[in-house]
Formats: sequence, C-alpha cells, structure tokens
Amino acid sequence: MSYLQLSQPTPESLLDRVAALETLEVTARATGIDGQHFYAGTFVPASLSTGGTNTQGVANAIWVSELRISGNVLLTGISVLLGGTGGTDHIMAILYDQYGNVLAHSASTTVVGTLHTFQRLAFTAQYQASPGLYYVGITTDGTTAYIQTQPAGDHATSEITGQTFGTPTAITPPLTFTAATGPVAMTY
Amino acid sequence: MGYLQLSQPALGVGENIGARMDALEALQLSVKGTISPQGTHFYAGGYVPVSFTDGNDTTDITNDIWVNEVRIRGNTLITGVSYLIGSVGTTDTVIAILYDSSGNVLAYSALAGTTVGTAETFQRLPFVTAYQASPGLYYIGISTNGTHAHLQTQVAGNHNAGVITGQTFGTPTAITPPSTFTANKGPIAMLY
Repeated sequence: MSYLQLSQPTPESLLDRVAALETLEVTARATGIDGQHFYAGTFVPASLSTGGTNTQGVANAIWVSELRISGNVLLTGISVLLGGTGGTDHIMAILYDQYGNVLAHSASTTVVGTLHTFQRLAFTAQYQASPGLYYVGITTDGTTAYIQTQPAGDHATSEITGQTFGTPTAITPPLTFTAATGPVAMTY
Repeated sequence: MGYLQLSQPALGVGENIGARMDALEALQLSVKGTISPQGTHFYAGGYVPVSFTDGNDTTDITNDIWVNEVRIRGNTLITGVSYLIGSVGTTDTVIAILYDSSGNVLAYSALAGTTVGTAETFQRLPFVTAYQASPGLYYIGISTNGTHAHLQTQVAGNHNAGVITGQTFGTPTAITPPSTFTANKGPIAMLY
C-alpha cells in the first residue's frame, strides 16, 4: 500500500477528479467547445458572388464535399452558398458519416433562396456530432438554381448522380477532388 | 494536508478506474489509434486555393526549401504531401519533407526526387515511410533540384511561412522553422 501526499488541504479522491472530467466532457458534447462552424473542405469563400464556381443544379444529383469536425458539437443544419440564380427549385442539405451513411437532412420543401447569399438549411432533427470526418451533400430538384462549388483543392469532392430528390440514401463518398462539384458550405 | 490512497480498493467499491479513464480518453479529441477520425487532409496554413492558378507562381531555387506551417488536429497516419505546381512543370525533381514544430525532420518523399508533374495541378508525393502524427504544429517543406519548375505559394497571411536557403537537395536536415509570414514562400500544400 502506498500513499501520495497532496498539497490540497482536504483529502482528494481520484474518482472525483475523473467524474469532474467526465462532467466537463459531457458539457462539451452538448455545447461544442469549437463552435458549430466547420466549412466543407475547409474552403472559406473570398466573395459571395465569385468565391467559387457558379454551378447549375442538376435534378437528382448531389454535390458532395468532405467536412472535418474537430469537436463534439450539436449541429442545427448546413449553410450553403448559392450561385448566380436563386428561387424556383427546392434544395436539401444532407449530412453523411465517413462511410456515406445518412445522419441528418433538411426538409425537401425549402425553396432556393436569394442568389449570392448563404442559405441556412436546418436539419429536421439536430444532430450531435463527434469529432471526425463527415460529408456534406447539397441537392436540388431542378436545373434553375445555381450553387457555388469549390474550384480547387486535393481533398474529396464529387457529384453523385442517380439519386431521388427528397429521399436521401447512403452514398459512396468521394476519394478524390473533382473541381466544381463540392458545395461551398458550412455547418451551423 | 491530504493523502490519496493509490491502491485500487480505496478508489471506489468495485470501480475500475482504468476502464473509466479509457472511456474518458476515447471521448477526447485526440483519440487513440493510428487513423484520424477527422481524415488526413490538412492544408498548410489552413489555406485552400480558389483555383489551380491561385497563389504566386514562384520559380524554384536549387537548394532552397519552401516551408509552411501545418496544423494537425488528430492522431493521423500521414501518407505524404500534395502540393500545387505552378505554371511550369516537369524537368526538375522534387522532394517533400515533414518537420516537427522544432524543425526536425520526421518524414520525406523519395530522396532521389520525383519529377515535377503537370503545371497547375496538385502532385502527391508519398513519404518513403508513412508517418504517424500526433495533434500539433508541423511544417511542410518543398524542395527541387533546379530552377525550371514553378510552384504556387501563398501571397498573404500572418502564419509561419518562409524559405530556407543553403540546403542540399536529397539530404534533408533540421531547419529553423519560420516564425513570421513571408509572402510568396509558403507552398500551397496539403497532407494526405
């Protein structure tokens, strides 16, 4: 049996210290110590109108980009940068895990907002994310509206075709970068 | 004056403190394991180019190393470095080097050099041996053996980026990392 003399005036319990750490961690899980704003591909646009590639929506296609989340965070939704034409079409945001499984999505009834603005698309249910690699997907039901996409990089982005708007299903995440396919988007 | 009894029974009735600590550690950002749950794509200086011609088109200098800071957020098995070639490719050969926060060499691509790829594309340079990185500050270095090829460098910022002169191509040694930002020196690059 050994003993460690501590400097505190009262006896200290190692279990209490562990419990305090656990409490701190749980608090962090709920609030997100890093905040909620993680940009897809870490790409932050330099301009609302020319910060990416103006990309026409394709019905039943999903624009996908990798997304790195560095802390436990409660996500409300995804904010996407719209391109040179807004309105008319509907738009959905989808959050996938690193394997392409659907974790959360916004409603399918949201109309594309004003051109050259960030539009926030709230998930139907908030999602509690842990640190890790995720994918963001943006899809529309027509070809009128445009979104801004990432023009350059070497991370993982792609356009995934053959989807059904309003019915998000698992995807095979991209492994390489394809210009003008990854949406300029941010979690919030 | 307090005392902490270190043996297991005094910590809790039937409590396995090791198991609880393991569970707690698993919740932390720096989880155990070799593969980062956050992926391996960390851009130097946190900068993602806006085009494949973005940045400064910088002519290579023999025996110089273009250095830029890179922050790794999780335990990550790094395969290599991808950098953005400038307006002129080919002819020269190139080496990528990973340094720790103090400038010590941790990993490098083939020391004989790899021929510079196509202009205005990202070229991936795998390390001779994949490097298991912990979270922290690192530096990426790009070096060529000639003055033919160009690379794209960062034009603005306030992080650590610079050029190290007087090096010998193919023999990476420790450097003194830059502590300020010098325009047109830090390579546009990404770990993978």
